[in-house]
Amino acid sequence: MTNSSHNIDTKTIATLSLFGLSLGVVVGAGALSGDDQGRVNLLFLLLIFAFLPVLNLIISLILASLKMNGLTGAIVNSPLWPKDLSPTPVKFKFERQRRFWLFFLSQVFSLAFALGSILVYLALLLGTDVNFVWRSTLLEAADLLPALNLISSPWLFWHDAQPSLQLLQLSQNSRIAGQASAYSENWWQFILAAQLSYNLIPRVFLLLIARWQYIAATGASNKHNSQQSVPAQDAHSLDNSPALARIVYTLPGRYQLLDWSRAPIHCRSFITKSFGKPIVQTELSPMGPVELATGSGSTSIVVLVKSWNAPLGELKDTLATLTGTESKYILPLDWGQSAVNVPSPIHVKEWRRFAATLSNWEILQPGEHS
Amino acid sequence: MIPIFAVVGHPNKGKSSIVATLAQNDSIAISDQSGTTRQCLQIDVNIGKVSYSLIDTPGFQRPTKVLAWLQERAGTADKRINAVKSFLLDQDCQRLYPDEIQLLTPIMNGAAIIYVVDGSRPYGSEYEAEMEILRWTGQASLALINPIENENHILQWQHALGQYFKVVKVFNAMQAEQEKQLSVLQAFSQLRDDWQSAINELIKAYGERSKQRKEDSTELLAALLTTACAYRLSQKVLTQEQATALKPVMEQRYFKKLAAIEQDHHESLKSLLFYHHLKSNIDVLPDFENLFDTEKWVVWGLNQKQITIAAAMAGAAAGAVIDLSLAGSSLFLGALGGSAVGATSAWFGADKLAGFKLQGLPVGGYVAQQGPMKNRNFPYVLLGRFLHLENALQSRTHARRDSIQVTEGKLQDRISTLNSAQQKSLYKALELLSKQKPVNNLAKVLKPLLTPNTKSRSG
Repeated sequence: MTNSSHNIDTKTIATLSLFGLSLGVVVGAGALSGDDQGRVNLLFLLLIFAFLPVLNLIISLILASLKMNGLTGAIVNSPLWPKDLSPTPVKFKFERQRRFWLFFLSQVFSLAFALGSILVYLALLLGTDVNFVWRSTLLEAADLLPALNLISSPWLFWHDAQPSLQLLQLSQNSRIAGQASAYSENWWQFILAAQLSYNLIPRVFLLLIARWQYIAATGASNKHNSQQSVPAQDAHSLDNSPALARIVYTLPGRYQLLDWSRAPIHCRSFITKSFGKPIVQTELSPMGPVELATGSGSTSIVVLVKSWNAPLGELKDTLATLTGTESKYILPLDWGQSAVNVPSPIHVKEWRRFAATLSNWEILQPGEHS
Repeated sequence: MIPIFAVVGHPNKGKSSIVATLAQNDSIAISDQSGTTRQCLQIDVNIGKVSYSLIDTPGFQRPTKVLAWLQERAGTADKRINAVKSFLLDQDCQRLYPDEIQLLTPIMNGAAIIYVVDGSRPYGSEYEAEMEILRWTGQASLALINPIENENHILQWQHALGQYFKVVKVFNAMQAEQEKQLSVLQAFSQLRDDWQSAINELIKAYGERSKQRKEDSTELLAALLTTACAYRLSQKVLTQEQATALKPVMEQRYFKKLAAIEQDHHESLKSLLFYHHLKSNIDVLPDFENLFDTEKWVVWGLNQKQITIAAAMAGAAAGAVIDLSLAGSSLFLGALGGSAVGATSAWFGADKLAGFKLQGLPVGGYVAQQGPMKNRNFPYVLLGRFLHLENALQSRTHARRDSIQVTEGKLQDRISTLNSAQQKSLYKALELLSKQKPVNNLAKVLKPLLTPNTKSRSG
C-alpha cells in the first residue's frame, strides 16, 4: 500500500469516526434528555442502546454476507462525501477489496457511534440526575422482569447491574400514580452494561475481524495473489561463472576411443573421418572395468558422449579411474538417425563445465573442416 | 490426504520447467546447467482451500550403480521395496549416491512419481536403470514426454516408456494449457484410489480459480479504464502567468502518471496470473511528444473509421433509450438523431486530447487543471493493450523465462467476436468513459471480451 493510500485511509477513518462519534453523542443526548423532570424512559433506552444496535449488527452481517455495501457504502458513495476521501478505483482494483474496506469502515463508524453514546451517557450521569422510569399500560413489573433478565444474561457476574422485581416496581411511573421512587437511578448500571454488551464490545470484535479481513484482502493483492509457498531455493546451486575446460580440435597422435554413448556406426565413421582411426574402440560402462590399450608411444583417450545428455555422476566416477594418461578428451557429439550434427553451444558449455571439474580433461570437437 | 508428486528424471530434461508449469509459478528456478538442483524442493500449491505438493528433485546421477546395489539385495519382486528402503538407510549409499537418496526419499514417503524425459532426443538404454529403480519403489507413476526442442522422437519414447509406466503423456512445459495440466492430476486419480477425492476437489478448485481470475481480470480492466479516463491533475497557482509557466510541467506529469496507472494495472494483471518475475515489453503509453500523433494509437485502439462507427453505435443506443422512454412515439427518430450526432462528433473529435484549464478561485488565485483525456480512442487504446497483454499471458506457461513481447493488437477483431448487443454496450460504456461519466456495470460489459471461449483467443 502506498503512502498516499495510507493517508486516504487515515483521513477517511478519522472523518467517519468523528461523524459516528458526533452522531452517537447527539442520539445519546436526545435519548437521555427525558422530560422536564429529568425522567428517562427505561424501555426507550433499551430500544436505543440494546435492541437497535443488535438489529444493526444483524443487518450489517447480513449485508456483508450478501456482499452488499450497506449504509457506509451509501455514505462514502454519496455526492456529499468529500471526493478526496472516496475509495477510488486506483486503491481498489478488485471489488472484494472495496467491500472489505467498506465493511471495515462501517465497523469504525458503528464503534464511534457506540463510543459517542456511551460517553454522553456517562457525562449525563456525572452532570445531571438522570431518573430512570418505565411506563406501560399493559405490562406489569412481573411481566417485564423475565425479558430484562434475558437481556442482562451476558453480565450475570455484575450483580449491581442486574434487574430485580423490587427495582422494577419502584421505578414504574404512571401519570396517575405520580412519581417513581428515587431508587430508580439504580438502573444506570443496567443501561451501561447493556450498552457495553450489545453495542460497544460486539463492535470492537467486528472491527478487529473487519480489519483482519481488509488487511488479508489487500495483503493478498499486494502479495500478488501468491497462493504457493516456494521455499528459498538454496536447493538450486547455480554457478554464474563456472570454470570451463579448454576446447581442442585436433589430437596429438594416436588415440583410444571409449564409447560411453553406444553411438551408431555413422557416428563412429564421422569420428574416424575427423580424427583418424582409433587404435582401439571400446565401450565404456559405469559397471565394467576400463580396458586401456597398452603399447609403445603416447596414446590419447577420447571418451565419446551424447552432447544432449547432461554429464552424470557415474561418468565422473568412471573418468576419475582413468589415470596415468597425459591427454584425455571428452568428445560430445550430436547425431540423428543418419547424420552427425553440430552440438549446441549450450551443450558444449555444459560439457566444458563438467570437464573442468576433472583433472586434466579437455573437450574435443571436430574442426570446421569436418 | 494431500497428494504429493515427485518430479524425477535425468538431469536437465525439464523437471523444474514441469514443476513451474504445473505449479503455475514463475518463481521456480530453471537453469541450463545440469545438477543445479541438489536437494528436493517442495512447492505447496494451494488452490482455494485444497492443496497439493510438487517436489522438484535432483536428477539421477548414478542409476546403473544404484540398480546394481538394489539387485544384489532383492532376488525376487517381493523384496524390491524393502531393498529400496534399505538403500535409503544405508550410510555408504548416503555418501556415494546423494542424488538418488534425495530423489527416492519423498517417493518412499508416499509421493507419486512424475517421470520426465525429453521427447526431442532419441531414446537411449541409459534411461532404463532409472526407470527400473522407479518401478522398484512400487509407487503410482506416470511419464511425461517433454518435447523440449521438437517432437521427433515422441513415438520412440512412447514405446519405451509404455513398458515401465501405465500412463504416458506428451506434455510441453512451455505450451501446456491448463486442461493439459489438469489431465496430469486426473491421471493420478486413476492410479491412486486414495487420492481420487482430493484430486477431484483440486480439479474443481482449479476451475473455480480460473473463473475467479477471469472476474478479477475484468474488474482490473474496469478499474484501469475508470481511473485513467477520469484522471486529472490539479495545481493551485497565484497568477495566470504562473499557470502558463506550469503548463508544460503539468502536461509531462499528467502523461507520466497516466502511464504509471496503466503500468500498475498491467503489473497487477501479471500478478493475478501468477507471473511475479515476468518482464513484459509492451510499449508504454505514447509519451508527451508522440501523444499528439493519435495515428499511433490505431495500433492498439480503433482507427478513425472504426471509432466513428463505434460512436455512431453508442449514439444510436442513446437515441434508442429516448425512443423507449417515449414509448416509440418518436418513430425511432431518436435513434437516427443520436447516431448522427455521435458520428459527427467522433469524426471531429478524434484528435481531441487532454485539455489544460484554468479556473479562478473565490478566495483568489487559480486552479490549473490538466486532463482528463478527452480523446474518444483513449479508452479503446487502454482496452486493446490490456486485452492483448492478457491474451499473451494466458498463452504462455510459467516455465518460460523469456520476456513477453506485445507489439500490436487488433482490437476490432476482438470486438467483432461480440454479438451486436454486447458491442453496443461496450461502445456506449467507452463513450461514457471518454466523457468522464459513470458507467454502471462496466466489468459486466467488458467481461465477454475476456471470456476464454470467445473466438479471438488465438494468442
